[in-house]
Amino acid sequence: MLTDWWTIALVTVGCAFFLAGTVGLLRFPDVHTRLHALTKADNVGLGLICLGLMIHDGTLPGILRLGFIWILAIFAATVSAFLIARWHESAGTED
Amino acid sequence: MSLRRRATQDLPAAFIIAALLALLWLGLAEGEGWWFGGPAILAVVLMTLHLSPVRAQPLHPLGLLRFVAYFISQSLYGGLDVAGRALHPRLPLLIEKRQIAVQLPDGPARTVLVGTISLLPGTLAVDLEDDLLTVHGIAGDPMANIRRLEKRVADLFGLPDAGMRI
Repeated sequence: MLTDWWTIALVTVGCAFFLAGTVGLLRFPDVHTRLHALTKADNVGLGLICLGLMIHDGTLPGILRLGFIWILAIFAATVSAFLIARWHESAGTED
Repeated sequence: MSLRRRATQDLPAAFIIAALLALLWLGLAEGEGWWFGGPAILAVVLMTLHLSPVRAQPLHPLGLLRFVAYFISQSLYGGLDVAGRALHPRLPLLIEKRQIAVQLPDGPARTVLVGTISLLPGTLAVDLEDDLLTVHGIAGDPMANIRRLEKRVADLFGLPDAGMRI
């Protein structure tokens, strides 16, 4: 089935973004740069994985569930990134 | 403000919240159990309008469409950009920290601005104190990116941006 190939392609590329985000987490020099890697790469990675699974699922409730998962996860990601960045700034800790 | 006036002002917001909750219920309960979901949605909408300290602000439909398109395309670009930098052997990061005076009014517009900054290419929201936003950048021109995003958020809420310095 053609749709299966779309699902495989999207989920694979999504996983590659998660991998790149993790590499950034390990290689980037300090808290702020690491947050850049996690928020942006994971947002795209999860978005692509959810999109791939939406195509695979194909039912309205399933598509809605996956959409909510993506939106709620990026909400949590951006808010927690802001809180960690602000905490790091005010704590003035060494990197 | 009288209860009746508040109710008519909040009507569009009430419909939007109810519609979103109905979609959530449809997703989670797979279209069953509306006898329970329906009253629950009604109760949540009434409670939200009653308890929320923030006045509901109408979204501009065209602004919303443009904001979503901008957000998705820039998210993709931001993800590709940071992934490329992380995997690059020499780790090219143009690190800078800047303070920018926010021109959007206090309230939901600012919340959306700060919430989206970290998901867009090269910028991370670090702090917001009064009107002063601290941004950490690793690529491109953070100032220009924030100004562009501010304009999109102003469009989203149908705010005039004539007075904004771009």
